[in-house]
Parts: sequence; C-alpha cells; structure tokens
Amino acid sequence: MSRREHLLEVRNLEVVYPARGGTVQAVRDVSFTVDEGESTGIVGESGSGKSTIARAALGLVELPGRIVGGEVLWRGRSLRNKKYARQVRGPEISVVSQDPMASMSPILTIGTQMTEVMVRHLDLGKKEAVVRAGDLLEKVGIPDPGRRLGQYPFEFSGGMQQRVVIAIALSCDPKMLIADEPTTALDVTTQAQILDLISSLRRDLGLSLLLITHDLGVVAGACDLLNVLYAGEIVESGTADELFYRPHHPYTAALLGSTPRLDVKAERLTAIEGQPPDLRQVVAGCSFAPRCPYATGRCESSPTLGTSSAGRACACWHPLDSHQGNLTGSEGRLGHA
Amino acid sequence: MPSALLEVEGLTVTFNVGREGFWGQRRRRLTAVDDISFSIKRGETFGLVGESGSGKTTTGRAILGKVPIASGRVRFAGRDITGMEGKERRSIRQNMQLIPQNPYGSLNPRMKVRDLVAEPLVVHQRFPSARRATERVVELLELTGMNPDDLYKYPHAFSGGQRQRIVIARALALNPDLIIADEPVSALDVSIQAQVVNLLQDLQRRLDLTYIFIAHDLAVVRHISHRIGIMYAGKLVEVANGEDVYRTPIHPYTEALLSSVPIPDPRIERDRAAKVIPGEPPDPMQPPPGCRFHARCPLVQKRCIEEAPPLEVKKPEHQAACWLR
Repeated sequence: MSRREHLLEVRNLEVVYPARGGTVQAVRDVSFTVDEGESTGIVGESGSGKSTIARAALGLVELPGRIVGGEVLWRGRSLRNKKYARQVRGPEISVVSQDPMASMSPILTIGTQMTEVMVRHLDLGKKEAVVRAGDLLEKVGIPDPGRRLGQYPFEFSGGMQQRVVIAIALSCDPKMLIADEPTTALDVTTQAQILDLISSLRRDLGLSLLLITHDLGVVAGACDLLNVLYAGEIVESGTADELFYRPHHPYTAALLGSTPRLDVKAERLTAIEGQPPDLRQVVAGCSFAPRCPYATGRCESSPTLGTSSAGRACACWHPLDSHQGNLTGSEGRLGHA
Repeated sequence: MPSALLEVEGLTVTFNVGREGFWGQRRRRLTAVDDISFSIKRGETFGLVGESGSGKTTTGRAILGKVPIASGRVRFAGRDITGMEGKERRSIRQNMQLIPQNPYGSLNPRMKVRDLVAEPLVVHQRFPSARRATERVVELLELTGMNPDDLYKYPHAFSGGQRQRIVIARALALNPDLIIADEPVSALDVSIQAQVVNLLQDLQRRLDLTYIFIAHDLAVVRHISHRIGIMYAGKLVEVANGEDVYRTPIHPYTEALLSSVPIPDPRIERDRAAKVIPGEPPDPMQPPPGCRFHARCPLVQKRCIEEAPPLEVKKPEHQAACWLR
C-alpha cells in the first residue's frame, strides 16, 4: 500500500436495515480513520447511526442489518471477513458499551468471565489467567480483587460493573478500545470516575480510542479528533478545538447552541426546530437543510465532505466562518458529482 | 414575605422492602426521603437535583400524594394536604400536575391525542360538552406548539419531543398552579431537549406556573431553575439560588457534583484538575451515621461521622447541611 496504513479505516461505509415500508439507510457514505494512539469521537443524536458504526468497526453488523457498500479495514484488512474479525476482536479491538449488565453473563462469576477470554486468546493456563484477572481488576480500581473475582455481576454497582467490563476489554492488551456511550447509564460522579479511568488507561497503555456518544461534554475532554454525525452521514470532522470553537457546519453550531452549559448562564437555548429526517425515505440533498437557518435552493443537491489540508472537513454549501476554513475543491468546497 | 405556594416540612418517606429474620418477623424498611424541608414561592422554578437513589423522584411523588408520607407536613397554598385522600385530594390534584419522564410510557397508545389531552377534564368532571372539550384541547395543543390537525392521531405517530408536548398539554388541561416535572427532558436528544426546555420557560411566563423541576442533569437544572435543592442519599444537603449554588457552593458534595459535570469546551476539560471524588453513595438500607456523605468527603472530621448535620442557613437565602462550613 502506498498510503500510510491506518489502524482502523472506515471507507464509504453504507449500512441498511430492513423496516416496514422500505429500508432504513442507517449509515450513509461514512469515512474516517483512527491511527495508533489517537482518540477519535463520534457525536450524534439518536438514530444518527453511531452505534451501527461501532458495530461495523467490530465486524459485527449482522442480519437483518447489511453492509451494502464501502469497507471497514483493520490494519488494511477487511473486517467484513468474519474469520479475521473474530481473530482481532479481543486481542486487537475491544468494546465497552452502554449497559454493563448486557455485556456480561448474569450467571457466571466475574472471574470465570474474565479468564474465559484470556484462556482463549492469550493461551494462558487457568491459574495464570486468574492472577492476571486480579491484576486487571486492581488496575481498573476495584478493591479486594481476590474476593471480587468470585462474585456475580449483580453484586456490583453500576459503576463497578462498568469497571469490570473495562477490565475484560483490556484483558488481551488490545490496540483500540471502542467505547459506545460508556457512561450514559451512570450517575455524574461515577461518570467522572469512569472517564478519568479511560483516559488514564489510554495514556498508560497507548490505546487508541473510538468514543461514541451523544454528549458533547464527554467528547470535549476525551477526544482529539471529532466526527459529527447527522442522519447517518458525517457532516463535519476536525480536531475537537476546531469543532467546538469554530464550527463550520450549521448543525455542529446548532448542537453546541442547544446544549446547556453548567458554566454559562444562557437566557435561552437555541433549539433546533423540527426533527431529523426519516431515513426510510431517500434523503435528497443536504439532510439538515429542512432545519437549517442558512438553507437555500442549492442545498437541494447533496454537499460532499470537502477535506481541508489540516484534515478538517465539512459537508455544507454555506459553511459558517468559511473564510478561515481553507477548504480545497471548487469554490472552496467539493461539489457533488 | 412572598407567599409560599408549597411548603414541605420534615418530609420523610419509607418503603417496606420485604422481611427479615428467620420467621420474617421484622420488616425491612428503606428510608427514601429523610426529614427534608423546603418551600417554593409562587411563579418560581425549584430544581431538585441528585443522583439515582437520592430520593428526588420520591419527594415529588410524596407531594402529589402518590406515596404515603411517614412523617412531616406538606402545605399547598397555606393548606395542609398531608395524607389527604379521596375527594379532597382530587380537588387539590387539579392544581398540581405531573410531567413524567418517559413520553413513550406515559401516553396510552390506544387513545387519540384529543382523548389523551381531554382525559383530565373528564376525570375531574369539567366537561360541559364534547365540543367545548375539543376546543379546549385545540387551545392546549396550540399552546404547546402542536398542530391542531393532529387531534385524531395516535401517540405512535409522534416523535419523543412531540409526545412530551402532548404530555405537557395534558398536564396543563386543568390550569394547575404547580407542575412537578420529573426528568421531563432526559429521554430526549439535545436539540429536542432545548425545544422542550424553552417551551416550559415560555409557558411559565404566560401562565404564571410554578415548577418543581426534578433532574439529574445539573446543566439543565441550572439553566431553568431560580432556586436549586441538592439531594444526597435521601437528604437535602443544600438549597440556594441557582447562581449561588453554582458560584459559591457550600456543601462538599455540591462541589463534587459540580466538578464532575463535563463541560462542552475542550480547553476547560483539558485544564480541569482531576476532581474525581472516590466511592459511591451509601446503601439506602444501611445509611451511615452522621453525615451521609462523610465516607467520600475530603474534609471529613470526627463530628461528621458521629452526628448528622442539620440543614441550616449559612448565608442569606443559602442553606446547607455541613458541620465544617
């Protein structure tokens, strides 16, 4: 390969689900990469396709969902190959999802669940695996690991369960962690603990992170690079600072405006009127146009995600602050085909 | 002194949660809300914040009379409504309505919008004629930003945000004075959440409503509330104006809570000194003696472990329950 090989590369991904009255185009032409040591965030509201992307990045899009276009590559090889996906899932890529109880078996002890993975993937003996499991629990901040290994998931609080899931995710020394709304089910003080844990583990172990969330506050601290997802498409990507301080896409700006901030007393939130489009219907043109205050006739044709020199991209005909954007392509943006 | 619409005094709510002992001779009791007091002025929004299990929802339900009160008093517009039942309770309930969290679970899927919104009018027998009721429903739908054409649709035809507007229209049907909104926007996406928050603020101004806004999201609560009460493990630990709670918190738990909320601003997040507080809230079956927060508190002293601090005035219009500040 002439290009630098990315750890994870998602290229023009298209995923559909069957639904009453047609198919839902859950993910539409999504491309992004995650390199070694990077932490990338995907921000989107419900139905924007963020969890489907997480599943695709694990090679886990299963019927009735179907990948109908594009590629998901891990170190240059396709995760659509089931056997390869099974090999890398665990030792290379692992996942922490929203509901820790759904990630564990309720009828097996924590110890059994932790050692199972290691015996399978790391070729450890049972005893070595137990020792390692204890070390991992200690690393994720669970006191008294020896006793805890013999307990069942229900004996742990929500925050502690999520720590166990993180320990399981780390058990085979993965290169990348996919965290899909890892703190959404947790209380705010517990959320702070878990986010703190994830970022310190990332520093210590040199993990790459793909963090998927609806919460702009969560990605602000945890991610260097961001992709903003709307109606199955990435509408803007760039560094966290660029997107937070100089958003180009009106949706990104609107999302920031509608998020109440604890540190700023706003008189009124700028709500985004209307709702996201129904993805069972073909969305013609810009999917945000019906809710966009800047929309014109031009928005009836789809804007594509123009990439700037600095890796910044925005799919909009009328980007905010465009004079600073330094985008390439005709008129500073890549037109649609 | 401005008239208090609602006064809560020493409110305590306990639940029986099974039995213990070999013969099951002892009842196990859980104290969900433990001796809390606050009052709410007419026209204000009182935000009640706390994490799961802190007792905020139970407080709201106790005020509405949906759970029995073990001890304490609730006064509404000067009238003692503690333990009121039957006809009396029904007449009070017209002035006090609930907006529940889940807009998917709170609307009967087999009823049309018109009937859903008119239901409180039927229940409280304010039903001069079917036509008049429909007119009132149209009025309410317009008030909450819904389209009157939607009158004969079923809830499934609406998104979460629209359903929440229907729920609000229903809550307003009887012209209540007080609305208890229990996590009214937590199930909604942020762009829709902003629509509903703005709607609630507009309605308050237009209809002179008083809100108890119960939520776990401090940023939303700070945005909408005039005064805020912070709950921890069944106790009210701090009450003050929204700005004071945010700028000059007194209770160490409030401080910890504030510093745990992520701010959508990368620079602030990067520079944030790690202020993670360790531990978890105590087991509600066995609340610790003394201050409920003592096991997690960075300032803990001997007295905190032995004696529970009362909620007392520390500064003008600023109460907190802490021995050390």
